[in-house]
Amino acid sequence: MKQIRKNDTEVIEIFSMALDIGKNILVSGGEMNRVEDTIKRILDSYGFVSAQICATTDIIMVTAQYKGEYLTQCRRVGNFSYNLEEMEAWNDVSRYICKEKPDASSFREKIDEIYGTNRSLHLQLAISYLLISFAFAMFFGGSIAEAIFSGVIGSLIYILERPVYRIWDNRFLRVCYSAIVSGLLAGLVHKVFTDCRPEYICIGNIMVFIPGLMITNSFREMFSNNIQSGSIRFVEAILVSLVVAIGIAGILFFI
Amino acid sequence: MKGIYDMLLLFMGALGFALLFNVKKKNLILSATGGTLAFGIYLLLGIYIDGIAFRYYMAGVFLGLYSEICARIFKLPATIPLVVGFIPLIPGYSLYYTMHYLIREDMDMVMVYGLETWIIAATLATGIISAGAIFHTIRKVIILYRRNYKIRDINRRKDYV
Repeated sequence: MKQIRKNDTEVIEIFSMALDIGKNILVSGGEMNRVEDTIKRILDSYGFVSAQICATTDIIMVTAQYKGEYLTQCRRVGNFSYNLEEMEAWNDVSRYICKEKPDASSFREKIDEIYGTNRSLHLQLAISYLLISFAFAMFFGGSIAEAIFSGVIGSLIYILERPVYRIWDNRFLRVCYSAIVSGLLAGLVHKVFTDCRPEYICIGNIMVFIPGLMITNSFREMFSNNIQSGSIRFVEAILVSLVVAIGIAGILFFI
Repeated sequence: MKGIYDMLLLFMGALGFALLFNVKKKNLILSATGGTLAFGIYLLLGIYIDGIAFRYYMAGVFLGLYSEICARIFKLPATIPLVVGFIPLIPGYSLYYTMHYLIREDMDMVMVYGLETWIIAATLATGIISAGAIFHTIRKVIILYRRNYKIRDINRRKDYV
């Protein structure tokens, strides 16, 4: 069997970078179809033929043919979290690359540009926790005082979970910790202000962690022919919600 | 009046999630509005229909069409208005209470909330898929029509020459 020649390193690099773009779209919250479509478009525009792409929640595998020789690579995908600005940027870059077909070095520059734009989002995320907790605590029947406490606890959770998230890589442990902190703080508020019901304070915070979006998306993936990825997301959503319930119910039981 | 109050709160919640998901500032309002309007459709249909399944389905169809149209007009991936738009509709509350009652071993309530979660998630997803199917069929028909028209036009011009 023929090996890829040394002067084909540019081809291999382009192939590799197409996979990187796919992986980044997946990690920042894109659907499987979008990932597969993006990789296929990039490979097609550079003259690769019969590209076979398999993207699941955990791994992306691609095989394609270039001038009679086959190339295969895979990428392991870690924890994904929604970052839609980044996803849009990756999406735009992929469209630009398909249109302009730059050489490998300009391709690399474009990718490095996006890696370089990661900015600190701490204040924005703390505000988002506050808004979500406040709005949903009111929506599910809490009083204004309970909603305000829920919002403040939401921001506190964000501050308290950062150092722990750096140590723990396991997403279930992380969510369980956040749920326990939420339950503890709500219990503390209930001890001081007895009128505030801890369940109504907690429900606002729960909406931040509970994977309602993931369970809906899992059904969407399954109905779009990606039964494997959809079922993995479904099981993950069930487990995460169980962990949230264990964390909060466990603490509220003792209060 | 209660409906408008609820929609305002959900809009705020969706805006919070848009910030959490790091949506670009210019798309914040756009993405949070879709889900709020879809929830409005769900509430409006509640006047005529009792069950939740069809109402969530129609809200899903509306949200799907809204995000596809926004994607075309404002040149952004349809995922952005879709993911944020889901927030007012997703079954977070019932999913949590399913697990809550599971821990307390109250199986009757687990069935009630579990089935509700299942119905909401499945009908919303089918609504989105239906909207996508409608949109892509119309797009394909327009493309095919234009292509045929061009071919006929060229043939006519050839005849004329």
